[in-house]
Amino acid sequence: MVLGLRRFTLRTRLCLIVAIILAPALILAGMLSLRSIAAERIHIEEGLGRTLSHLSVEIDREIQSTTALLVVLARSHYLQIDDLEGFHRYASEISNELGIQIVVHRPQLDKRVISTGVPWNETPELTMPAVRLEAEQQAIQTGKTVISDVFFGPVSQRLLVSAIMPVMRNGTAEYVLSIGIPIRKFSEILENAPPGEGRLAVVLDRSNTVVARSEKSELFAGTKVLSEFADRTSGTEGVLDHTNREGIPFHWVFRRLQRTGWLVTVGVKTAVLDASARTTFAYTATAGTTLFAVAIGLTFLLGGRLEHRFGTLGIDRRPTREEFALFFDSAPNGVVLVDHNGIVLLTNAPLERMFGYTQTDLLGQPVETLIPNQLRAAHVEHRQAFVRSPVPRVMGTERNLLGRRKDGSEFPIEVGLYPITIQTAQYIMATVIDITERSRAAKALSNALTERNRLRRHLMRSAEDERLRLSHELHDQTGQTLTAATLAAKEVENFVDADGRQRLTKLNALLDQMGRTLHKVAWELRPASIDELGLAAMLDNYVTDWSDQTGVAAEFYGKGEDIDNLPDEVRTTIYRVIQEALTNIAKHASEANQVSVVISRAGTVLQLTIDDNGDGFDLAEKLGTPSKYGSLGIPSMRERLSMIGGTLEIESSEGIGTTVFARIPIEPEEALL
Amino acid sequence: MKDKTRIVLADDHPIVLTGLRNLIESEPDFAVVGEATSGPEALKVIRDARPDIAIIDISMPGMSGIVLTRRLSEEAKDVKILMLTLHEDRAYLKQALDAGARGYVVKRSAAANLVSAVRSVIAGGIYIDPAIVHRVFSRSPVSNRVPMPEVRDLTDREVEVLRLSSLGLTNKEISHRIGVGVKSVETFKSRGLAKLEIQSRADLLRYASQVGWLADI
Repeated sequence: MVLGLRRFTLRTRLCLIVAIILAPALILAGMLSLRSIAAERIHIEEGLGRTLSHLSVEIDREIQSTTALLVVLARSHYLQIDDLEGFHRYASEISNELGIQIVVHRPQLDKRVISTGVPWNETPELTMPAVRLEAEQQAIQTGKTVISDVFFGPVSQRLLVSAIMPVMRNGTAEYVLSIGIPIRKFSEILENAPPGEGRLAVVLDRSNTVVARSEKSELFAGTKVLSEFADRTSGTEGVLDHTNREGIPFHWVFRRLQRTGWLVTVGVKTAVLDASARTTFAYTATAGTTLFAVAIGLTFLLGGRLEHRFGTLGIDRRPTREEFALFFDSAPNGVVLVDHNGIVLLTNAPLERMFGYTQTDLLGQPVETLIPNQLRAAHVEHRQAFVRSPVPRVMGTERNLLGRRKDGSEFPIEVGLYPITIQTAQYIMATVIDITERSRAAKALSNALTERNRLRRHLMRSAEDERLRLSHELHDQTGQTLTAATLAAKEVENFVDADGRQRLTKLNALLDQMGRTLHKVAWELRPASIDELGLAAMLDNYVTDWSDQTGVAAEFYGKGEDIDNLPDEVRTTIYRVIQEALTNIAKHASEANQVSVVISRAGTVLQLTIDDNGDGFDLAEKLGTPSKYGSLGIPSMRERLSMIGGTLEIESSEGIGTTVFARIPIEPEEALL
Repeated sequence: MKDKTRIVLADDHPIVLTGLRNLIESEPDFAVVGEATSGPEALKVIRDARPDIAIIDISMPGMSGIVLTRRLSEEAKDVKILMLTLHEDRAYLKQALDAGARGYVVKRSAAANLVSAVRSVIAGGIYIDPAIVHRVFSRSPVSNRVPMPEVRDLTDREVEVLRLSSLGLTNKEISHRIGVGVKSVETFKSRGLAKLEIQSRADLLRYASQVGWLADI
């Protein structure tokens, strides 16, 4: 885990830790807010219940007061003495006072109905609405006051409910008294005690017809509620979720009134009920998220600061400005940044030390300040060329680039150039290395090599000179003496007898043998003909002799080339290389039957090409076995050639043969060597 | 009895000269009429003495025997020249004969053959020492056969490869130059050589100089 975390920066780790701590806290807060949402819901439901109770009481009171009035009317003396006209007068006063309609009739006697809304003389014979009649039947049967369902009053021309009371005499209903209460009365109750925003109170009669509604009562009164709603509210009290008539989801509490059997119900829009939950949730979520974001943000910012104090450089944090400057100044090499015009913009301490300047000396100066006067013009051109085609490159490796210190002294440098483009501005960053030591070492090495070569060449020359001397000695001195000896022996022949002559013949044979050996040794040491006949003639002769000895057809091509006036060393080398190559062919190229030795001149290069059509060999294989390769005398050929600035190439391919390419520069200054 | 054969000896080694004189003079019909130990001296002596034959060493101070012979064949045509030398290289023999010498004797066989050599040359013949005579005729029968099929028999590639090869470029260099692999260069080359019936580089150069490939060197 720790190792896993190490992959992240300190800042990231801190943020992770804060997130891990904060998340459970936020979840807890969420749970608490959910509980408070539940509490809020209960609170709303309790409010609904209170409203319901209040409304129930109000409605009961209205009914009760109406019933009370009925009792008063029933006991009035007009009815005791059957003075209906007096009763009409009396009832009309009350009805005008209370805004109700009082109706009385004698169900046993006639169909005449006396109503306060109609003058006494004009009392018509009215057909009672079925709802009204049904309630009256019930009242007559039970002998108790009955409250009818809602019906449309034919006299008052509005929706009413009737409180109906039979006036009993001797066990039968003498009169039936009723008071028509306009349902407006109930609407007013609801309107006077509004259930609140987003809430709705409804009163239904026993047949589920709307008696009153806290809103839009005029629209819905007298209409039936949905049968499903009616079914689900058949109990005495309860709770249900159902849409209202306008299709809006509501949460309802209801209670059935004992006296009337009516249903009082108060509902709150589910939206309102849930609104608090939603709001709470939204608040909690917003607050939680904000808190989380702020915490992480602060940790991030703080973490950034901590990183600088505790974090690992490069992994946890970037270097600060100061650190960067320190690194820049601690670079092992000098660094200078210039713009595309070569103006110095930035230097580091090593560069300043190297050139003996302070930073302020150089800023704004052309970079050519740092190089010697005689190189400046050329440098400007180089720099412009670099700006035109900026590819990273190193200067000063092949040609000697010099730097110039403030005090005017010069020293060898190597410069690396790196183009930098920031937006559209072009810059060049140059790293500068003081290569004084390197140059010195290189020079020392070069001197040592030169000296070594000089010694080798000297050694080789000495050996060659010695061979020449020995060859001459043997050939010219010993050889001549031997000739004289044979001639002397010949002279003696005249003075001796046959026996002596026989001995002389033996002596002559010995002398002849000696002469042959002498000649061979001298010739192998160094053919005198190189010097006496010229190299071309000698080589032609040499190749032919070689061909005779080996039986391999061989030809020298190049007699036309002017090689006789080459320096002695060059001529000797040519001879030795050809000698070595032909020896190789005789030794190794057993299949060869065609050999060419060619000397040609290409400009200032003398080319020596020796090829055979033997087996050839795999060069790589030969190189893999140095001893065998060495036996080909190739290193010695190469060595000899390198002494005079020449090169050696060998190409060999199996089945085709081997070609030795030796190239010798014969430029005048080379010739002087 | 006719006159003695008049002989001049030229050799820079006095003891050899002495030995020669004794050898020559042991023949009754030979007479040494002059001696010299350097090239210029020999020229003077021979011009003055006008011998029948001059026996000359090749290696001499002042003027080599070859040069001396050349001078004499212009200035004293009647003097026959016989080379007597330590050199057994064919090159010397050839140069001597080219210069106008009528005889060539190597010193180690002088005691045995010089006298007969002098007689042969005096008789108008040419004498070449048996010790090296085989070399005159033993040249390996390589070339001088000039293959001349038309260049047009070759493909452009073959021509280019052969041309560059005749200029002395290695196969690798040719491969870089014309942008094909080394193996392909080898193939072009051997195919081209086969078409031209050329077997050696020497023949290739000979051919190249004839068709002008080497012109730009």
